[in-house]
Amino acid sequence: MHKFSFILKFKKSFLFVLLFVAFTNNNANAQSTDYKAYSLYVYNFMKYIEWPEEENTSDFVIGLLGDSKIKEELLVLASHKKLKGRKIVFKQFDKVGDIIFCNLLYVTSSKSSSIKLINQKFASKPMLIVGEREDSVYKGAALSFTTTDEDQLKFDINKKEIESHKLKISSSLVKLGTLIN
Amino acid sequence: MITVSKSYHWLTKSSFCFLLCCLIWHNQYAQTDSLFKAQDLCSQKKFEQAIQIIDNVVNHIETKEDPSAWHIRSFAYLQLYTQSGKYNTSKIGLLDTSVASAVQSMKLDIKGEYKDQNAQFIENSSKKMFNLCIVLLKDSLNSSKSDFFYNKYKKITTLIKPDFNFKEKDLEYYNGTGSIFVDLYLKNKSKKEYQDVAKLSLLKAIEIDPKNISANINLGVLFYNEGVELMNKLEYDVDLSQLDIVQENAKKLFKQSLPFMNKVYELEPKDARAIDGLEGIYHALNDGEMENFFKQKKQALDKK
Repeated sequence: MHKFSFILKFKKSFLFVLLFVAFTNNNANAQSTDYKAYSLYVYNFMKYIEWPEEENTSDFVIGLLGDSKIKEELLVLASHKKLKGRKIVFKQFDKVGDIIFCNLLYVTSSKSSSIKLINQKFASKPMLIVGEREDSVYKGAALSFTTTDEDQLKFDINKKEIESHKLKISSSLVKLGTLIN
Repeated sequence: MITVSKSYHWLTKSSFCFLLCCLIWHNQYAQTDSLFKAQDLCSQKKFEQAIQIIDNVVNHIETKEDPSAWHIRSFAYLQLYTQSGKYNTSKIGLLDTSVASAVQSMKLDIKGEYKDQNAQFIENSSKKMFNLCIVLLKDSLNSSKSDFFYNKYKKITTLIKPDFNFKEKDLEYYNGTGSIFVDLYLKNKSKKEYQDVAKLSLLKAIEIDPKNISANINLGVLFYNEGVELMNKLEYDVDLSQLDIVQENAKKLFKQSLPFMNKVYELEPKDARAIDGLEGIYHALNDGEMENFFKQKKQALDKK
């Protein structure tokens, strides 16, 4: 009986396997951390707190004391939004001595010990001091961020400090935060 | 009369037997001849014509159990598929027929004359299936079709290597699929289906190898970025009560990301992606202590 014979040529059969392995080494990187929630709160504080009439004519100034990743978010906020038709301007300071008047001053965690000093410097000026650190309201900040047991970002309110700076907080904002006094 | 009639009857009977023998012989000869014809056409690369002949041979009662016929058929179909162009999914039936014919040839081949070559045909088909599944992933992003061909590749490979351990191959395939779709999703975040394929594939890879760094980091990043995306989509004018709901959903995603990032950190404590991711996760979960821990790790790593 005749034996039929064929020879198969194997060409590049494993080429793709190698390419595939090379392709799988492409790993993703995490996006920048989430400070969006902080900036959303900041914008809502701006909306629901009332500044004296005479302060509502020029640009709205947000100041940042210290260094924090929230800077990027605040810069986005300043470039994308307006507050009741007013332009939002962002300024950053390294130390208390550098601070000039701002409508809202965001004090980073590392600078929370400076709050008392800031209050002295800008006593009775319509400046809203927002502390990043949890207990900042007890150090003289008007508002400070806090975390619930469910890891939710919330805020505490020091109404006395708000009023001492000639500011008014709306009842709807009070409902969403926690009053400490 | 009786004598004449008897001899006439004998003659008729003999003639009939002779004719029948001739017919059988001719038929058998004809089938063998067809095999030669088919082989000749194969050597001329006229596989379509060879198939027309060989299909008749393997269906013929005299030759349907001839291993060489099935062997030629397997070769002809395999070659016709190769001729139809690279990575042709529409002609996949040709490969199926080639494999089925090789299997049938192996079954009938008691002497083992075609054993090695039949195995080679099957192996070649399985490689073509594997290449197809990769091409489908990379070019047309068709993961379900790719899965179909990958499973076919596994099924065919088992025919010649029943004890083949697919663990490595599965890991490579699912990890590769995951990486491709993570990449696609990160380039176009509106395509949620890419994200779903990536997650499913990476989870399969981790099921096979829980210590796989690539799968763990990709999955960790995928969940983490999904949480960040959820927050980033929020408009500044969002109602603060709505913010609570979104935050809650985002937190769930950050928590889902945590075990994968932790695993990478546990396996590779100097992996910058894991350290970066963990800093972000703990920040998002408002765990300042842990956030600081990884922040310092990152700074130490950057100094080096």
